[in-house]
Amino acid sequence: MASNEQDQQPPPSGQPGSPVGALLRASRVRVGGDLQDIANSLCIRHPYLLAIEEGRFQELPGATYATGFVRAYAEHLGLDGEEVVRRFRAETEGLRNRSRLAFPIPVSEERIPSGVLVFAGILLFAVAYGVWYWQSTSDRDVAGLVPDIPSRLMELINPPAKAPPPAAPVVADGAAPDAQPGHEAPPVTGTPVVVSQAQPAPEQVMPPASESESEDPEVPAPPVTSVAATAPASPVQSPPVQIPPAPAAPVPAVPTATPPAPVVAPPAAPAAAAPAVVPPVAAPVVAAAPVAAVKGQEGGSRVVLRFTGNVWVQIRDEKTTLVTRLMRKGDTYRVPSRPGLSLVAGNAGEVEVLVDGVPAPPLGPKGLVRRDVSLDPDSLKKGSDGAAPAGEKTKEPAAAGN
Amino acid sequence: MFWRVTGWLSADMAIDLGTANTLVYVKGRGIVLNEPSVVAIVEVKGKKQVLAVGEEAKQMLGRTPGNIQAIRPLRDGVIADFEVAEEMIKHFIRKVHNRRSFASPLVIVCVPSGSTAVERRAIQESAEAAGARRVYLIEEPMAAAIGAGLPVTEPTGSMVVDIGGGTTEVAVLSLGGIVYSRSVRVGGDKMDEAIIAYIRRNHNLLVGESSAERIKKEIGSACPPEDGDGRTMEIKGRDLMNGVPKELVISEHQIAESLAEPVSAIIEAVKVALEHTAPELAADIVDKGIVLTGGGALLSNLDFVLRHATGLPVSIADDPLSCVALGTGRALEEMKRLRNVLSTMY
Repeated sequence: MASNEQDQQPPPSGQPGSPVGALLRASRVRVGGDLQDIANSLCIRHPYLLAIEEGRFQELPGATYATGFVRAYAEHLGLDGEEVVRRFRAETEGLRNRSRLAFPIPVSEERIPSGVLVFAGILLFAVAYGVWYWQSTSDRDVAGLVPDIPSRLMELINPPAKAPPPAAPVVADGAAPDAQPGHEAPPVTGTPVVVSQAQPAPEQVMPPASESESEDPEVPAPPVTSVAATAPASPVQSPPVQIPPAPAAPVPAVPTATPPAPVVAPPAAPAAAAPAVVPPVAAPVVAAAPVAAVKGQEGGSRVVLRFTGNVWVQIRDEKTTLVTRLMRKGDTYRVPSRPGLSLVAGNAGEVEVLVDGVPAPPLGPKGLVRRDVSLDPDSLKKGSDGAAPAGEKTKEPAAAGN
Repeated sequence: MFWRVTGWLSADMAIDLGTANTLVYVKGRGIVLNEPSVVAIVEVKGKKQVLAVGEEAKQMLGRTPGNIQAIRPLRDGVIADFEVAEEMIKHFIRKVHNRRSFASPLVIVCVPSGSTAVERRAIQESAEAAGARRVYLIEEPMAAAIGAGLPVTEPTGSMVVDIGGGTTEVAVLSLGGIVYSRSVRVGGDKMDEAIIAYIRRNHNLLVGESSAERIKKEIGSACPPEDGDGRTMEIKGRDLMNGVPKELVISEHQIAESLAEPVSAIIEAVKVALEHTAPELAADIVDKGIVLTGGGALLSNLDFVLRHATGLPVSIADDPLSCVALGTGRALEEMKRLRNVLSTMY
């Protein structure tokens, strides 16, 4: 044992880190005690005493026990136990952190999920419901089902902003010598308000003359020809471009619907050219004149339908239906200048047909249902179309409304 | 911030309601009160009133006139006089709260591990009657071990011997619980009684309890000194033979003889506890040894006697008198974490 002790001697002397350990070792060596004997006497295990002497305090079982061991060892060696313990505490201040008491916690056997899971589940459900709700409501929205208007047509709807609708009567400033303008004027003036509610469908389909001409090759052809027939000298573009102020005064409510000029006064062929060129001058004069605030097609339609009673009408070509609606008394409809259009009228007697401003032969007596009436201006003018199906007596007058 | 305000208002307390001394630990302030568990009651017109509590009352112990009684309401670690104990607790609560009458603190009181349900209920009810808002009980050995800084929650055995005024608690703790505990009703009081009996028997001198306690503190020893009589002390009392006051000198050796019986009772309790300890825990205890707490741990050479009796290293805790109060106070401070060492009778 003594040899063992001798073996242990060198390290602590060269270890300045533990004065308490060195003090205890020095005291023991001075007394001549054997570490193992002291260990037996104090019932403290030899490794612990060795650790104390060598300053390896972290190897001791715990702060409380270490203090007790040091005190017992110091008192056994005849030292002042309290003083040695005080020094020992100062030395091991870092080690003597308060023991943390952590009681073992049983594993939770609850089947109810934790709050976080419940919250996440509720959140997920809410999100899923929101998505479903949004989906289902958008499905139900009929408007959503209709495809958007193509941008090409959107441009056609809005042109009035760029090119305000021209006033029909541009031509009317005295240039029209015939009785036709005069004859036509009263009904037109009476109708503007009503006409304002005319259906948009034809308008969308039929491009305004001024701009669509260049874009749309198939549609513009008739207007150009019709205008050309009456006023070859005047370009079609001129009215919309040059007469902005004119329509504003007479009918502010009809900007989108106002048709181009040629409809009312196509016959004033040569005269029309001149006023058309100088619209600003003519405009004030014209403003007083009735406005052809008729729902119809720009681009010079030659056929105008005027309704003297409530009539259900349908106008269509081979492929598409342009109009299907009940026309009220006083309504007028400018038939677009397109080939192959046909008319179905629930009450032929209440429909007045004007071809180039001139009343055409009536379509039939009151109460007669006319089908497949060609809206070709020439055939209407001739009235042959009207005469032929005369025998087709009304089978379903109810649709006419009266 | 909020809890601080409420903490000021309530000033929760941990009370080591000991047979000899009562220590009060206030949350956030530490031990604020350490006084003998003595109450002096005066009878005025047939109505009993508290005259003094604590140190002042202890001075009156054995020196009172007929209308004054100096009472120790606790005996053997449990309440012997319910009303007086209640008055004492009330006094301590008021003293801690600067005599504010509306204070109703949360109180943790420690109880001997060997106390019966009736005794525990008596302690809890007296604390509630004294104005406590809520009362929790903690077993003394657990409080002592926590206060001594033992690793009670680790899976390693720790043995603590708490020698109090009325009882000695021997317990083995591991994983935050008491594996085995044994409570013997031997403590400082029994030592005092042993000293009184020894002096009366051998010297025909009757000494009071206070004198006996003083003798124990000054020259008390668990084993006789190796050479000679050791330290000596003058003691005063009444001669039993002729009834006159008398003074004589008594030696450490004599007192050690007188204390042999209670000390052997403590050793026996420790040995019995060790016998009942599971081998794994016993292995841990061999490594680390026994920790002594309580006032009895200050009896000189008690650790030496225990070491030789058991063959285990014996350490005396730092500040053994305050260990139980500190442990109870720590349970109060870390109430959420140490909740499972607390109990209540309701």
